[in-house]
Amino acid sequence: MTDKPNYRVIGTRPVRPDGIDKVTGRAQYGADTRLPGMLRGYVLRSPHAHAKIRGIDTSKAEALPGVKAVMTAADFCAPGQTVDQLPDLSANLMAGTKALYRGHAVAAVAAITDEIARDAAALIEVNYEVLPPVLDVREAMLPGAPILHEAMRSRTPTGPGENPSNIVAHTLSAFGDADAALAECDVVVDIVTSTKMVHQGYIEPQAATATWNPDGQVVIWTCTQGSFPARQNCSQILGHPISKIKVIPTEIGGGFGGKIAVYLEPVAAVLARKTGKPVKLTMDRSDVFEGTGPTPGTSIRATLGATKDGKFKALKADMAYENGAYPGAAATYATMVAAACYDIEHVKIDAFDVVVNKPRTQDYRAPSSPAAAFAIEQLVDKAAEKLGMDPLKLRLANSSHEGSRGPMGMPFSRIGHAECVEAALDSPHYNAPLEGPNRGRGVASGFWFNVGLRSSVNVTVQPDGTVSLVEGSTDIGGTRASLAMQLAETIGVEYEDVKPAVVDTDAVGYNDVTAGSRVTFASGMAVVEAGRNLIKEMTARLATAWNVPADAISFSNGVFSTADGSKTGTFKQIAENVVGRGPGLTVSGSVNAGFLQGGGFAHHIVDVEVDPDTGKVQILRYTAVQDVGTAVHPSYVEGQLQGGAAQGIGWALNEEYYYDETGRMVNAGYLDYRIPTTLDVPMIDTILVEVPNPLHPYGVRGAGEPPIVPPLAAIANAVYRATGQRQTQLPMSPRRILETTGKLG
Amino acid sequence: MFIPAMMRSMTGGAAQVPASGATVRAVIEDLVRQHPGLAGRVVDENGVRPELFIAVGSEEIFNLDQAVAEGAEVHLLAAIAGG
Repeated sequence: MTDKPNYRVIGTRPVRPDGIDKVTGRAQYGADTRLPGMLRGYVLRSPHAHAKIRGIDTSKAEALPGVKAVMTAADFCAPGQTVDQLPDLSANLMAGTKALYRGHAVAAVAAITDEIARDAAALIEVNYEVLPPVLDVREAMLPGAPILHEAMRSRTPTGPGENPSNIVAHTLSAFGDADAALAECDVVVDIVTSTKMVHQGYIEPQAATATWNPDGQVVIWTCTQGSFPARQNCSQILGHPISKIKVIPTEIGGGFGGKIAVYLEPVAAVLARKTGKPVKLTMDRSDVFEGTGPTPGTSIRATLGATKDGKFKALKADMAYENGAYPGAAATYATMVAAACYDIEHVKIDAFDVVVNKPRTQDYRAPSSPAAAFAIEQLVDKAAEKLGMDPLKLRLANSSHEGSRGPMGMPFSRIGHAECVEAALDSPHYNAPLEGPNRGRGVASGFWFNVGLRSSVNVTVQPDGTVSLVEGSTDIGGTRASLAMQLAETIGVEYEDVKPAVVDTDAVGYNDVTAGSRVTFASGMAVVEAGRNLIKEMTARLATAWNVPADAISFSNGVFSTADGSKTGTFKQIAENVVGRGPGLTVSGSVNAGFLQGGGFAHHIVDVEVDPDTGKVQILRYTAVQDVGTAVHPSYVEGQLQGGAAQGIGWALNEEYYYDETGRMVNAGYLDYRIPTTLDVPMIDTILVEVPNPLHPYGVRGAGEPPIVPPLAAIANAVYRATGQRQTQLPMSPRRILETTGKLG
Repeated sequence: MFIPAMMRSMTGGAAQVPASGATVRAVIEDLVRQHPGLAGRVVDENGVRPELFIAVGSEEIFNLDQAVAEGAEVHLLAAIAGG
């Protein structure tokens, strides 16, 4: 779509370097760590959603033969500190005075076998005073609701609240005068939506193994999205210096935001310190559902106003997001994404972050954005219907663009939302007729910021002219390949001559988490910097060898040459014949790419058929369009779009934390918590829009987050067209569909 | 200066505050002079606080001593990453 440079490696589809190990079962994941003398750990979790802990008696567990250590929250306390003084970061890992959700860890055991550890945990006597839980975000906001944190006061636009409240923060985000503008609009549409807590649904459960040497050196093996932040968190929780903690990242079987926070790592470390032995802890699926960090359930009321010729004038919303048991900022995030796709002059969003007796929520692919889009993109659909306009053309007419103010008031740089909508308008899917009864087509847009943050890499020239690329960012989506490709492009070698590896926290400079769609972007920038440093150093060495000034040597398309062309050599030749005779050559690249990557936009089209008798929604056809800047490895980028769409389809149609009135999740396993299978999802077509990102040397834009944003609303819009009924609650399960179509029972 | 929603309780609810200065640092110092509740909340002794970032116009800045042109928009923004 644009004048894309003629890249040699970027844009090709080579085999991923970790592929063979993964398909042959040789790749080492979190639970695969095995060390001599290793003990097994087990975590005892609260059976109650809300309960005071009056005391914990571990004596019977400690007396069981084979048990080597038992820990509680007291083991996280610094000298003189009591469990009620532990910060949330620690208290969420091990409850001290109060269990705030079912599944909240209360104690842990290390023993010589799994079975003994489990039996010992059953002997731990926890004296609970059970309290009424509050599970619904709006109910938690009401006066008289059970209070989770007696000391917590709401942060409000006018200062802290006076009384204990479950409302962590009321954030008001406003530009212009939305109330006045709405009063003048020709067309006003509104909606009230609710979504349920859902899980990231990564396949590999959390696992961590730790050793604690007598000299205080701690080593932790874990399947984390960020070994450096994990080290930082472990240091804070354990009160142990960063310099004495090394985190070794294993392969990771998915994360999607759910493996940023630490859960087992500090527990394994404490048990290793108490026993003097390596200790491994693993979660089962119910632990993952009940004891890690899903994404919030929400309750949103929103109103959109437009002129009769289809110009959006005002958006007003009230958004309440569950934070789970401890304060977070999910609703505050929502204020920054809700209106991002459109250029709207008057916006007012009241956002409420609320604690409830559920697991502390964490990020999940474009956190907070899908639920906001579920409301806003249905409003756009309703407005299009009222205006009698094509929903895509209405979006295009109101699209954000370079220079228009984004949701935080700052002007957008070069972005590609309009190009995505145009591509959707031109797509074979949108132009194909959809015929037959009970069928409907829906569309929706989505946004995520994408970030840069900090990355570091090392590059070493090997004697045979290949190069080693050492990075510290967990590879979840194929970043070893995408970074190796950028290095190969920069230094003019074949992709196969770059050997990438992800190493531990002692072996490379600082790297932030693999999140925010940042690694191919920011670590890519570090790779390009390292590549340029490498060429500079090789040029200096070559100047000595060729006996010419360094500035008389140029490097282009992988070839060093003198100005007169009398001497030339490829990268590989120079690496073998010149660098190979001298001292070793390692260079590094380190960047702080900041928070602004330039926004990522997506647009999805979906056709559905709704069975009028069973309420089942069948996805007939799905197309995901996205501005990806430059697709470094198009197959992996397409995979990101397809994966995000598939997760969004699950969120839209089936997934939810289903609670009973006591706060017990009754579907804490994949038999009952239904993520989509290949039978539920058709082949998802992709259209890669490439609007090069001016902030990256190769125009890269993060691709992983935006594709989960549109599906919820796109499917709801399609179901509306199939049934005539608006779907305002998720999931759109068969039961929900039949309820709304009046055919239940 | 544009103030993020989560910090407006310290600017009396104002989303935009006029501030002057030749550099980003000076503009922030002027902002803090007007709203002392922001002292230590935007920058501390080590630079910009980690929960924030700063942009001039649509460009993120990494050096507080960067010059600011007359009439420029300085944005304080909440740091957010993703999943």
